[in-house]
Amino acid sequence: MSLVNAIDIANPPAVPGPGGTAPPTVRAQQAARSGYGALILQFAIKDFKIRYTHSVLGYAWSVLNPLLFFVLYFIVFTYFVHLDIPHYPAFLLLGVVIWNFFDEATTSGAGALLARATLLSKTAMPRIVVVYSALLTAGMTFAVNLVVLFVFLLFAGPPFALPAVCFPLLLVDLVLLTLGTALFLAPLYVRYRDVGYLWRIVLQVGFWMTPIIYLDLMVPEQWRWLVWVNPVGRIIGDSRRALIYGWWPGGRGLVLTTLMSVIVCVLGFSVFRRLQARIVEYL
Amino acid sequence: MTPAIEVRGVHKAFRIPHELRTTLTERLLGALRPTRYERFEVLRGVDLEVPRGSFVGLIGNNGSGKSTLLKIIAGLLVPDAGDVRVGGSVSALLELGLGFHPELTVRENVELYGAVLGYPRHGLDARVDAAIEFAEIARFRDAKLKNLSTGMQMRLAFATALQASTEIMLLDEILAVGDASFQRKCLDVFAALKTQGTTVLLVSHNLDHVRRFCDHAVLLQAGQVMAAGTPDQVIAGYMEVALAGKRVAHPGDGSVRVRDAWLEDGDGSKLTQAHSGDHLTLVLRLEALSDVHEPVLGVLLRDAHTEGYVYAVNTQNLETTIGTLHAGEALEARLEFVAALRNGRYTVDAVVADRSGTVFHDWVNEVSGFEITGSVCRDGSVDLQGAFAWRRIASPQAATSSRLAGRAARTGTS
Repeated sequence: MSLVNAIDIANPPAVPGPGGTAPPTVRAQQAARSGYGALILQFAIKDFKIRYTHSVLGYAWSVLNPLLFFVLYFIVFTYFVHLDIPHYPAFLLLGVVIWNFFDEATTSGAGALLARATLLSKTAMPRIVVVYSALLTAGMTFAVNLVVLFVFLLFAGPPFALPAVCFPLLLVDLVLLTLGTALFLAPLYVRYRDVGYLWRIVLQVGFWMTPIIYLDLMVPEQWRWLVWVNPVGRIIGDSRRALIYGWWPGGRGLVLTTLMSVIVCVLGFSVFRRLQARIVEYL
Repeated sequence: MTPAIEVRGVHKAFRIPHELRTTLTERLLGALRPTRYERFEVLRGVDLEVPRGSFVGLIGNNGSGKSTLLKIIAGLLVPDAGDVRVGGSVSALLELGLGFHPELTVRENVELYGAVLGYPRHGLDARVDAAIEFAEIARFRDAKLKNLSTGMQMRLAFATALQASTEIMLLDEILAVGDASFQRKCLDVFAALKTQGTTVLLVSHNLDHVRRFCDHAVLLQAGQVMAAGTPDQVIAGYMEVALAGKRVAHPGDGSVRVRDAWLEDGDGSKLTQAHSGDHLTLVLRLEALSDVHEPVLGVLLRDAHTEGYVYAVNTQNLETTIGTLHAGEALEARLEFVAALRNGRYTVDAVVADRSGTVFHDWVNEVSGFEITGSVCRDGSVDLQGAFAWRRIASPQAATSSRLAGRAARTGTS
């Protein structure tokens, strides 16, 4: 009689059979496997939970953050600096909400591989899933912010005009651009941790170099090209024209913006695909 | 039928950066120079075939490339050269765990990793429940993972991987942690997996488990397959390799050298495998290179898996003395002992020191070794060959109550 046998008498091994159910055949199993879509969603939801545990306001923070900055900029640039821009509150809120999404999504997307390092080094799932889910998390915040924006526009902004139909296309461009940027940065960030610091600086410089608080026409003529080559700036500018001022964005400009976003997206995908295979070794 | 896992000529090397920059200037200068790397070849042309439905044990010393090979098969690492084919769904449990998130609850973690491992959409909740149930932590299903003990987390990881019910399972040292009852449970699961026809590739240092469950065993040594075949054959080969390949440089002052060491049974024949409780003799051959006054000979016995000492003894403890050894003199020392050890592999370190124990004449790690089988113990560090005996005695409670009854009766009469 060993000690272990004595334990087993008190606690008989009830083995319900591993797997619980009979193992299905290969093909059936692959078909039944929950798709990666479900996985991306699971990750995004869990990310959300992790981010807002131990905070009283919880999810409200993701809406409050851009709103607080909106109020701050509004006070500073209306009462301290007298910027004379028509419909300035709507103008400003739109810019802040779009920039906030780009900022948050690229930051968390770029850091997604590192944030999930323990998981990625132990399970063989497509690496891209964690980047998608980071973007989805930022996308949820963006969606709530957009709702706030539209409510604001309905009650306090100018009435919507027909050119507003261009906005969905601009949103698609924004998502492609953000996705491409995040995919480009994520594997580089794993290899060179400087990327994280560098990207923060780029975003800070970008915030002031992009017409978010001010109007693109306020930029001196010889610097105007800086605005035209900035896809986020182009998207914000065209969104304002379409949603707030009721003007049709220039067709050629819209095509160019879309082209830029698609190029960034393709570039991001190809870099990610090239670097992802060995990324585990650097985590 | 195609094999479940087919590995052909796989090479894998890691680059290990040399970082010996300690001062700030060195760092600043170093930032301009590229870091120097050393290539470390972990796998050097590995061929492996795991037939469908078989239970294969992968054994080898620490650093022989077992875990790397498993990671390559799992698709976590990309081989530098060679080809890996895996025919079927795989779940892998590597390096103690799945990488659960400490801030999520038990249930949320299982849901998340269930999605990662690809639980089927239908009956997902049932599988999550079954995993938590199997890990015996149903009470803590809504507790954050960080509040669970390491053992519980490990059990949960195993249970979660198991519920994926894939055709192929890669298991790396899953029995290294966990208490005796959970280990037992795992072993029952192994048996069940076998009958279900799941293909299992198991990395284990526990040769006993390999012998019990595996149909085949593969010995990996310095990144190459040294032997493959039945567990008994391969384990025997492993014992030889483990003994031959590991003579470490002698760090002593060199006045005495341990030349040879082996184990003998009662009949004086050499052995590498013994039954728990056997009387064994360790034979050590020393040679003095210069005159040494009363050297102390010490022997250390180590568990090859945990690398912890299970026994240490020297001539001083045993109150014997070798006397003075003169240059050129050779000595054969014999240490008789009872192998009251648990199943596993053990190594012998030999030390020759002076009487103060401050000067070492020679120190040889793993000068010899052996494997113990046949112990009934599943836990603990030694097998003291205990035996139970019992007799029935009067229940103390019965005695007390009868005494009280007696007293009450007396009070009643008074």
